[in-house]
Amino acid sequence: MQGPYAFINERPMPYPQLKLSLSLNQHTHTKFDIINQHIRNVVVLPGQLVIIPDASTASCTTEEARLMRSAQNIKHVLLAHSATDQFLIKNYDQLQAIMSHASLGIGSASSAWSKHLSHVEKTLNEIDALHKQYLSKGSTAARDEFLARRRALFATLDRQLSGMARLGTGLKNEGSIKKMLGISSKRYWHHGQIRGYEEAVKRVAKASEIVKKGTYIGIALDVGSTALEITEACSKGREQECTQAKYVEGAKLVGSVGGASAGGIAGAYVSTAVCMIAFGIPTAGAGALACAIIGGAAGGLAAGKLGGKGGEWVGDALYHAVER
Amino acid sequence: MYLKYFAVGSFVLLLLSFPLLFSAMYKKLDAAERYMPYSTFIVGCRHTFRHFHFEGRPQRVFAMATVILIPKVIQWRGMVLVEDVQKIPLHLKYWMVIPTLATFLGLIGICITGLLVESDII
Repeated sequence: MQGPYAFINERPMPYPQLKLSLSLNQHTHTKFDIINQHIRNVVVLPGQLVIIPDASTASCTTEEARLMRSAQNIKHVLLAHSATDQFLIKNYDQLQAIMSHASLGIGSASSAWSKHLSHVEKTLNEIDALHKQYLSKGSTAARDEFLARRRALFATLDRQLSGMARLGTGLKNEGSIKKMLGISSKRYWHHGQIRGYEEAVKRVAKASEIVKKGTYIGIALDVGSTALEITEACSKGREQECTQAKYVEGAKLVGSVGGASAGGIAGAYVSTAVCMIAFGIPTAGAGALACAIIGGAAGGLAAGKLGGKGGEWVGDALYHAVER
Repeated sequence: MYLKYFAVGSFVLLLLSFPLLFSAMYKKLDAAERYMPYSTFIVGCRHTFRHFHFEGRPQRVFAMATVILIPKVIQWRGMVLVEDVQKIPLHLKYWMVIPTLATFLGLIGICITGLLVESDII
């Protein structure tokens, strides 16, 4: 996958252990240390942002710099509050920037993508089962059958990972499938080892889970922030502000969630239809799915942001009309 | 003043479009799709969106509305036959087109409102 990406650490873990668990390739090790200065050589707390560098370049990109700044902000807020159980609500601003609207937009396409990822996971598991089955037999005849069946499974996997479809699997384009999975035939025959294999399966399974939950996390963040804003306004003891916050924040939530949902659905459809009409892909293969996902994400992001702003204004107008 | 009506109207329209769209996609969509089993546009959309939320039904309603509204453009790309579209009963056409227009108009309206708010025009 091109470009950097980030994830939120889930449990306390020493930095070296975290780094090991990521199965980074040799080139990105040094860069990982540089861009993760905020967590380097300490115990990484739950909720901290871990940045996976862009493997295509050795220098730091603008996007990586932006992620580093977000990671620093999150670290400061985390240290200031120290209560990690309230993490989602307390770090709303940073988290929302990363996933709220975008995940809502992608949400319309996310079930399709998670289904795709679970298919990849199934193929990987089948390859794993085949290797184990061969190990228990080990005869020459069994080897020929094993090779033929493995070739068929590799072809399936290759199709599943072609082009955009690789996105989110954590499997990098490194030429052959064997190289990508860390399976060396030679090593396998001699030592019976499949390096990095389990990690690949786990990574795909986890990506599938995260993608599936993205929409609900996005909605939860929006609802949580609205509740916080209203509680804050009402706790100041001024009744007028409290009522206004209910109108404004309520309408903002409706505008934001409604806009992102409708925008995601409409964006996915419009981009697919345009792709179909312009490029003529009536077979609706991976190309159409890619159009749908990009359109869904863009539509959800734009409509969610603008809908939130529009909703806020409408809420304010309604409040003033009711007051009068 | 008119901008206020426009903003509130778009907001209401967007909210109204959800129940309309859900009624159309669960009550009328299957009946409407039966009229064009050989359209590559409709079948392609159904295939692409089959794993999306609600089995991609909202997008399929939009696809039906597109075919009803601009059949000649889709026929020009060889993805539907105008004769098939003409066979769809009028009430089904309304059920496909009205929720689609409500969703898109509501969405465009709320986005324009957001843009106007962002640029301090209202």
